[in-house]
Amino acid sequence: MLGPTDYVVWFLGFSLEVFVVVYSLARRQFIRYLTLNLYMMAAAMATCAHFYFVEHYGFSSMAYRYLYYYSDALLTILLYFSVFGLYQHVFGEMQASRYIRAASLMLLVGTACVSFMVVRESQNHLTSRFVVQLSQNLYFVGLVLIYILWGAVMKLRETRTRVIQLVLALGIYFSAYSATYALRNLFPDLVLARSILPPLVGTWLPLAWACTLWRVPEEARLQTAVLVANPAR
Amino acid sequence: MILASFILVISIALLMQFFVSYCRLQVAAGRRVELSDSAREATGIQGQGVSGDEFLRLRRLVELCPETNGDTYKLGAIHAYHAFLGMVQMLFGPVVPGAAAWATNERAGCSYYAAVALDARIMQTRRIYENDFLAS
Repeated sequence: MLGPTDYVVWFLGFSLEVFVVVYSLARRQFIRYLTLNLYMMAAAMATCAHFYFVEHYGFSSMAYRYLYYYSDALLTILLYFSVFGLYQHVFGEMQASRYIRAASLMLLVGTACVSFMVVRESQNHLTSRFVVQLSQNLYFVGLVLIYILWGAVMKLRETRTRVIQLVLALGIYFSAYSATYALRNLFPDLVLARSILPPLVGTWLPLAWACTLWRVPEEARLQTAVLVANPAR
Repeated sequence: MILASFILVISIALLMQFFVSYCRLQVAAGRRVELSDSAREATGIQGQGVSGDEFLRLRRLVELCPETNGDTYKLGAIHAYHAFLGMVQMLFGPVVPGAAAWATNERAGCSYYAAVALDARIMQTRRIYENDFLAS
């Protein structure tokens, strides 16, 4: 059963997702951050579908569970494209768009093939445990992708504060979700990993992106050297 | 089981790294902002020097003013970062003096960030007062 806090967090997440898209449209930045905005639109639509299913079938229904986990898996794959969109921003000046597009296409085909094979193998026992494992693996792949991107940001001494902030927010999101799903896999009855962390982590990304697009101007610059924690200094 | 444990450990390690970098970015951006005279007067800060121990006092002052531009979540993140640095200072300070010095410097940055947030809120409150009360 959902309480008032759950609905508030839910509504907050939805509002922020809509805000990111509307703000980008109003500032004529929709195309510039196309993959990020497409993800936010899809996430907002998924939130509406979740709400509809909870209202009609109930929070504990199998219909809602399946919708939740499979929409989550699809959104994660869509989020990979946001990561590649950020790769385009970081490697934009190196004329590497062709290679990034090829890599993203290969990743999509690879993920689709692996997911298809896993689902075909497990179609007789498509349990919650299976979808938790699938989500855990998808988020971990996302985490690896964003970590490579973060390495490139540091190596190439990227100075655009907005891009750095978008990448870091995504890194926190992927690592927090990956850890949450791993916790759920290890301790299936842990309330923290089942009910408390997922909505909070889910709200983090639209919140961080909304604040970044709203508060950090496109022309803001920062030396990445200040981000390297060096206790020996 | 082994794969899940491996993913959990790696994810938590990377989460810490991303979180620290994210907070350092905010603190570094805060350090570039010059405090106004009214904020200096309200906080008693002179120059860029502010102690890391001042953070909680400044945070309480920030909470007295109305929120500005949705800065609460960032202040929350900086608060968590400040607490994390306190732990680093306590745990590694006696063994790795460099880590203690780094944490002290970063905690001072957190305090300065809170002062900058306070400054923004004071200015916003003053603007509201001038526009809504003095104009009518």
